[in-house]
Amino acid sequence: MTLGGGPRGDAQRLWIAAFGIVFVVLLPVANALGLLSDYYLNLFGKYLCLALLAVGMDLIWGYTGILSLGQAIFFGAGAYSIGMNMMLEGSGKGVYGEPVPDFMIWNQVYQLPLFWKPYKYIALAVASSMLLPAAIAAVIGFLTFRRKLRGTYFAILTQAIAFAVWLMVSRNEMKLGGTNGLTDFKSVLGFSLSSPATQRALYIITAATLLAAFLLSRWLVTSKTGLVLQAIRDNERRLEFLGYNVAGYKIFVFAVSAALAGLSGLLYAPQVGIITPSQIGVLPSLEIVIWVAFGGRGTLWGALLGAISINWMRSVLTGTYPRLWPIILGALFVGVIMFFPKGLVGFAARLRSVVPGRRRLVEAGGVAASKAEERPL
Amino acid sequence: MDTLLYVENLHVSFEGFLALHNLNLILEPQERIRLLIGPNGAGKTTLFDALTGQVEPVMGRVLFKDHVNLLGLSEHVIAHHGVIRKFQTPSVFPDHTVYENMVLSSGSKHFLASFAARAASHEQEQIAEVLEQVGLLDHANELAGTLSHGQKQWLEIAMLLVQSPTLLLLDEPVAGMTRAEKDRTVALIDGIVKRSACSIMLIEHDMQFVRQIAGRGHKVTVLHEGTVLSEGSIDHVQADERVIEAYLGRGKVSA
Repeated sequence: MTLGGGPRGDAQRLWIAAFGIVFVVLLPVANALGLLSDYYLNLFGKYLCLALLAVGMDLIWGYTGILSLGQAIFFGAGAYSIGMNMMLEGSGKGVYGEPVPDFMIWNQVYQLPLFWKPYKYIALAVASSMLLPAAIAAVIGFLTFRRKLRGTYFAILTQAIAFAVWLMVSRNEMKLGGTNGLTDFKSVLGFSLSSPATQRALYIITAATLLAAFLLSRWLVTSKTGLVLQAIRDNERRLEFLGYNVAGYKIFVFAVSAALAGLSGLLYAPQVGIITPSQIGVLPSLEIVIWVAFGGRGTLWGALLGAISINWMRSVLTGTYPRLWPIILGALFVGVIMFFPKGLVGFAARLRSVVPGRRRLVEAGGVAASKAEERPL
Repeated sequence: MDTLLYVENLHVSFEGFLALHNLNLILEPQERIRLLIGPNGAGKTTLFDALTGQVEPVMGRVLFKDHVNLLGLSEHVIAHHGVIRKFQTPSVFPDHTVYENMVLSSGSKHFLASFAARAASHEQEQIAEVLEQVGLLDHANELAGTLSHGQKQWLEIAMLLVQSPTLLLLDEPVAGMTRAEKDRTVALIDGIVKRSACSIMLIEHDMQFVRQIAGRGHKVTVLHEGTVLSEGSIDHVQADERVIEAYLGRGKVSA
């Protein structure tokens, strides 16, 4: 036996490559050739944004065991950052011809508020979309993790913060568009958002970003840092006695997950065309938890699959049974927790062990990697 | 260095109840093993808690290697100074392999260092050596959660050893072990004394085990009601009238 040996997961790489080829290359090419409608490409772009959000959630909750019920705030910080930039790009061309967004005029605000000014520059808006959420998370983490506030208390605290932020942003006085949020974006970086080419480019950027974030997260969880994160989940006290500054690791992973959520929001707003407080409150934060639990927490593929499959189901089912959707979502969540605590990924792993004939096939896939196999040395 | 560990007039209070009071204890640098015994509630584990930053004493002084004041330091800083502790119940990381448990324990604990490769080659060598010492090398790629109780205890001792401790605090290392496992643990501790430079402070209730270890000429300290009752060779403390009295009603000290 070689010490620390084990399957390195070539199959995993194969799947990641397949994922990259399908989503980064094939879908946009199909769209350009007219085989895939703009509507569906845009829909996939939205799913992939949300998958990015789920990957961040998986890092903090799935791997580190810290339940953050405020991830949507970070998503919102990213989406509002780019939203403000796009509003300013569109303003001046509005009905009133003033250099402030139209909704402010309706609220008798004729001068651009100071905190809006940096968002005139796309570079600052993009930086803000990731750094602002990371900074907020770092501050929250600094105040809580160093005081050893953990478990349920942390979850409740983040939920309270999500609620407070939702309340604040909903108010017109915040000058962020109130409950209507920011919408009616015209262009980003000068490219018209109504053009299919712009949307296709946004889609490609989203898919490539997701792929990069996935690879980065994969590297992170298989490094020694990843061992530490998972050890925090399993036995935090023990880790402290080994000499680890656990609070530092927790602040780090919380900030990374927040930055990924912000990135998700940054890509989401221009593709969906609207960001409102209803997308950054308590409920959307909870939904992210459901995606990850459904896909399989503690596996990056689980986060990806969960976010894409649930949001795809939502698109289909809200069309036919709009009122039933929350109930279906809740039932899915309860069902998965009760019968497949390891989610879709765990279910696939179980299928593999039940059906020996399929073993090689699925193993080659590696999607179904069980928790132990998910961490090659 | 005059003393490895110097504990003076230590008081620990739990809401008015003095778990430790006026506790004085000195460990000489050349001393390899000190056994701590005493009836339940004598304050043995509380002493370890105080030494590792788990509880905050109301009074007293604890110096490590003459100059490091351990009181008021946080757990991980104390660990960095080389005071490493094993808890009563085995606390390994069940979802990590034996090897991964060792990787977590060895090498730099610094945040940035953990982004680098899992373990440098010299660390791997050391890990293999320590695992061999505790007899777990053949189990390196198994999940720690699947090990037997005794093996988990040994893994935990291995996790402490790989950190090259100066002072090893072992809290009931053979609790729940079979006789055969206890005998192996005695051999393991003999091996540590031979091969490593660290000193060990050891809490144990199992008197047969205590006699086995103390029989090699190590000192025994008896704690009772939060303070040192008696100290010396195992024969000396077992003959001590006060010790016999302290243990009365709880069974005799004899093995």
